[in-house]
Amino acid sequence: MFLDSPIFPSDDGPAGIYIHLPFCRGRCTYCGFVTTPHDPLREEHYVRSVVNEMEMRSRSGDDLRASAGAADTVYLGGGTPSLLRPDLISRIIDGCTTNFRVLPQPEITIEINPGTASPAAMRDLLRSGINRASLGIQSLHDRELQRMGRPHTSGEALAAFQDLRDAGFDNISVDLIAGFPDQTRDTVRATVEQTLALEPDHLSVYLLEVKEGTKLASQLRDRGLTLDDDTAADMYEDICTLTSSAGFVHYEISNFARSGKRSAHNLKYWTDKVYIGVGAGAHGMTGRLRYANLSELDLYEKAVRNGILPVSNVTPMTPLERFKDALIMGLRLVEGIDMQAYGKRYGIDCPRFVHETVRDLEEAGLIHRSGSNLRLAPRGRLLSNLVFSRWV
Amino acid sequence: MKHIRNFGIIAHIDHGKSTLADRLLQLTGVVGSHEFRDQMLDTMDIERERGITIKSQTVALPYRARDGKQYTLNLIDTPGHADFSYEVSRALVSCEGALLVIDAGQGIQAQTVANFYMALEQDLEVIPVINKIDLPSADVDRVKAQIEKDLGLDPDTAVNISAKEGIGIEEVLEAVVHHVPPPKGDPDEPLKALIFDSHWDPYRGTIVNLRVFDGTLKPGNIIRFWSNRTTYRVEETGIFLIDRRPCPVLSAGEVGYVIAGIKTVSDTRIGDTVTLDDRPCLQPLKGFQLVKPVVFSSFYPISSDDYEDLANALEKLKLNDASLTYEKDHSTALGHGFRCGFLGLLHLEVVQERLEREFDLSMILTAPSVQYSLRLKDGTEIIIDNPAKYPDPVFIDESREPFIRASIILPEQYFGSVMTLCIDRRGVQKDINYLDSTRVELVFDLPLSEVLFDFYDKLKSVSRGYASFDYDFLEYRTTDLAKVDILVAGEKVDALSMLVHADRAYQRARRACERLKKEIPRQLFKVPIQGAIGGKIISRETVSALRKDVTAKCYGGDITRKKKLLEKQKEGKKRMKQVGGVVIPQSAFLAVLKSDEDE
Repeated sequence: MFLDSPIFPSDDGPAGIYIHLPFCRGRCTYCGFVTTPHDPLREEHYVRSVVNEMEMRSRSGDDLRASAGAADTVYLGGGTPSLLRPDLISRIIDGCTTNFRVLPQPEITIEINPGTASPAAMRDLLRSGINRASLGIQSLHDRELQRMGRPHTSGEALAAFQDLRDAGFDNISVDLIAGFPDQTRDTVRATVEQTLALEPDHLSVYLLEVKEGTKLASQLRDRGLTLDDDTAADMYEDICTLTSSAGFVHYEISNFARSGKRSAHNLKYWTDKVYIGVGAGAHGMTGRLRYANLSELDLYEKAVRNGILPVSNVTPMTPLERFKDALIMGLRLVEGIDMQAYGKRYGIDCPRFVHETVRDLEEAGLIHRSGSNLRLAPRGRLLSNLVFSRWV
Repeated sequence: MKHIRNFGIIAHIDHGKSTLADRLLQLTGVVGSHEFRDQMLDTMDIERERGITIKSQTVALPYRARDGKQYTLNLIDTPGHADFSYEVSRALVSCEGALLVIDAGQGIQAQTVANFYMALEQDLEVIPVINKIDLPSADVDRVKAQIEKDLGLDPDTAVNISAKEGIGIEEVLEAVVHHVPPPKGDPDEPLKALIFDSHWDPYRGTIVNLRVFDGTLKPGNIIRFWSNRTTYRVEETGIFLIDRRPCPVLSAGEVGYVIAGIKTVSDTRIGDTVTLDDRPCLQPLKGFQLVKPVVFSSFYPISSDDYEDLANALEKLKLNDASLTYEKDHSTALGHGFRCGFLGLLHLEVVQERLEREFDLSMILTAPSVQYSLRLKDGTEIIIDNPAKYPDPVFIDESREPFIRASIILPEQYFGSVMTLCIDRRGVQKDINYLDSTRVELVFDLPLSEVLFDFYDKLKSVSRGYASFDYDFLEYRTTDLAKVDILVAGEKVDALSMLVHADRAYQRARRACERLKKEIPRQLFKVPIQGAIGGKIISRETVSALRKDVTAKCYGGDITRKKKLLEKQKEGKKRMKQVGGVVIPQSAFLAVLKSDEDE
């Protein structure tokens, strides 16, 4: 076999820390994540568990061995993290710095939903060390928001953005959805234009996928609808055009940023860095294995209380598996990957591996190679699963 | 012989044939309650699921009647589908009587009448059994009136039962004892026995079910099959009590089995006469026909690695299914496979389902075809059942296709819709007989190819299940054939070609293209789908290029979920076949088979 004898990378650099905060006011129709109703008392208990889990993970050492114990990004995702009292958020961040070696000037992001944080709370968040906000706007059409089951209006979304700016957030990302059944090309374009007028620093576009078991999945079944991929593709292309003329750099399949404002945390996933997941249903990659935490809140808390790592799945990786995962994630970046560098990291003849697994897709115009650089061709971005499926 | 009764059960579908059989088994103690399950005699999954009987089963019920005497009542269960009507007729020949089960609520139905006629044809004593008398909708008096009027039977002979509730079952057995005549025959005459079914047993070879009319049969005898004159030494004779029970001799009037080292069931032919080699009978039993497949389709394994497995599986099925034929076949598009012959489409589906379930095979089937007879310009005659072997039309002098003569009995109110159906299927009306004030018999000559494809289902649907359908092969008639080819991305896919009547060619080509468009997933490039006759394109659809197959985000680093989706996609591709540059799913080949109406 041409794969000599693959090895794990010797150095993985600082890690990212992801913390899952599953509390929500309601459940959006399309959401397939671990969520649970907002409940201040439970939130307090939960935060205690989260901090305890961090302690366990830092003591076990496994998670951080590859990153020499250092982390430089923290991401509070959910759920709706902004529903938590600011002092609880502060305790989580303290938990990070106490248990992990957080490097200076870390990127610390919190996901915020419109209508869930007061201007005062926003200022508290900044004070606790948070320096990046990811605002879930999704759409600026009230009817679409209703269909999505979002518990806020477009007015609240615009206000929330302004509040964040006023509070002093200088790094705000906005989440939008495209391809939702009730959206049209026009409404999406209008949402994007209005959003760009707010001058956010970063934009994430979620091309809707219907997950089994969600309310949306059953609604679509009842209405006899399927998603229209062509329209979604049109929307995506519109978004690429609009963001580019507004000065954004399209740097990942569904992410756009102003200069210097790429998501450092999400880049961990795309550039083969390790990350620690904490909280119910969180995922982590330690360099040698992947794990998923228990997603049921009670079970999760019970495990932590009993001093057991609250994992439901641990999947050890071989160097080859991690290498293939790294290709899949790395090619999501518009700039692609450096095959020589990846090959060297894993002791694999990467150009040859690529040649033998996806050469025909290069001929079909989905990927592009020049020298040591491998990237998706623009057409390949929307068809990237065809490329990636060669590596599972 | 006085204490033997041979009988079958016939019924309209759902009137309770299998339930009654179950009760008879229970009451006579052939099965205890602990080993009992519904549809006891239907042993194949497919039979249970579809509620149909495909293979006959026989069971000897021991019964002490009210007259104090011990009887053996041989129940011969028969298949219940038009594909197997010859088998049914042979099974009925082995009986002296039949229970005609009639639903007390629904009364006499078309199939009841059709079955009744079939029983009369074999001179059977028919005992009407009115079932489901416990239902609120039951109207026994009305059914009795129908029995007298429609069947001309004495309604007082009818037995009222509820098979479900176990009411009246003993009366049924008494009626069998008293109304079904004991078998006739002479044990001292030369052996004359009828093969009415056969099964394959991996340890014993073919188990032949037979009815002895004259003479005796015992282990050590050398028997001879009349039709092919092959001889075998009898190893074992016996009767059926769900399982086989050996007995030292089978005598005139008895029903049982014989094991004689027969290698495959193909050597035994249903309807054939078995006699002794050293003392043969003078004449065979009447009514023997060689059962020939009438519909042909090619089976290709989706993965070419499975070819050997498919070959082995077909060989195994063939052991137990004399009417299945197969030979090697090759398609440019699909590689190596088998051309298989069947008694009808149900038979085809049963074989396909068994291959998939019992042998875990994934296959692609080509459009079923009948056998056409072609006279070429050079005077030679050829028989074609495979579109791939259809010669260039310039060499064909005349094409002929098989016709059947169909007898359809139906209540008058469905006359119009059934006529329309028959005419639409290129039928030629031959006769109309008014059976009584409400029922009509339509006699139509129909092309077999038009009848094979869902005609029966269609007939049932336009007549709400009332029409009965029976047919006999008639003759080959001149026809105007056309071969429709399907091109995918400019390449002819031979496995999608079909032979159709010229008048239908355009419609069939258009439908095939429309269906394929729905079934073929979007690919990296635009895929034109064309229907053609000769070189001429007569229909076209286009599968537009795939634009979006992307996972939007990997939230929180959950790559596992994404990989699972990708793996699922990959798994799905395994059920697809790469033809030229295009990936065609198995379902696309099936979709083309479907008739015009079922959308």
